[in-house]
Amino acid sequence: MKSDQQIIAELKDESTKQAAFRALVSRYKERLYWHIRKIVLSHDDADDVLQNTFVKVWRNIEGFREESGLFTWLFRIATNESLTFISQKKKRAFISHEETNTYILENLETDPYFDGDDIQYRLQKAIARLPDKQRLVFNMRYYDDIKYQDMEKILETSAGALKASYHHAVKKIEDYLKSEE
Amino acid sequence: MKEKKDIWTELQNPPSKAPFKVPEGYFDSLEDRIEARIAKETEQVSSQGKLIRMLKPVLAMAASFALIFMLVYYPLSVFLPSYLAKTSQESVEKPNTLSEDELLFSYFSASTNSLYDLFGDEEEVQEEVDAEELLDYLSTEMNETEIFASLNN
Repeated sequence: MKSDQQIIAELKDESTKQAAFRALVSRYKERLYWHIRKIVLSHDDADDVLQNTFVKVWRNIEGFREESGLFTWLFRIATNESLTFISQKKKRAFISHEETNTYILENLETDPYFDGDDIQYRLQKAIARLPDKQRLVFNMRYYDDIKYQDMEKILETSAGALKASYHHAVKKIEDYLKSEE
Repeated sequence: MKEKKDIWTELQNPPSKAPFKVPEGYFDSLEDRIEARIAKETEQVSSQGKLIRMLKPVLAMAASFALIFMLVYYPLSVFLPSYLAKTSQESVEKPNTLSEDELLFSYFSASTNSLYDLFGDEEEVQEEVDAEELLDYLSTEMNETEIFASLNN
């Protein structure tokens, strides 16, 4: 199995670029998909964003600086693409700042691929009400168990700020679940 | 429905995965779909480039005409503004000839119903006619040809 460094080297060589890109997609498609899916919630949107992410990787591989690590770089692109996608959807739907997550909630309610019980549905509803960045940090910590040191590199934010975001997110989720009872 | 304590347990114990699923076989064909999309986008970009290459000489010619016009007209408008203003004023002045509507309007608003009134401002020749001559004229029995002949004589 090729290492990330090998894949990067082959991606930068025109004669091996195509095959190396295929290998990269195979290796990271599922991890990136689930990361994106938790941000946009709907499968169709996640599919769009995942494709946008890989197209961007293909176009910008020349500018990739290897010190950041391939995994971190890919997650950063996927995160930016997801947040940009959501903000564009909100703009098109003329959703104001106060009702920012209406679109996300609708995605959750109409998603035919939701596969959880009532508790998980209520938890997802509570998460969907969070501001985008808190939601992102909560998902990465709670579902993916990503360490704050790694999150720092992906989101380019300090560990302190990330911990604070996670703390606020948990508090809001608890409050929402209490109010629902 | 689960109790409140179950929710807190849920939050305390991170789950292995989010409660979502994907359509069957979704990941199997992903590489092909992404490659097809990249190929399509690359093709679109290259065809756009082809069109620009084709239009380049035409655009260059149009740009040079615009440049020449600017080089000639701009200095003239700066150094000879009064001359340009005069010529442009002359070009927009109304022509002396009357339009069809104006002719009809002046005809119907004229005091007499003669078409003759429409042509120019020539002074009417007023001849003084003696009352006796007028009586003689009216009393003579002449046809139109005879009148015409007498006038010519």
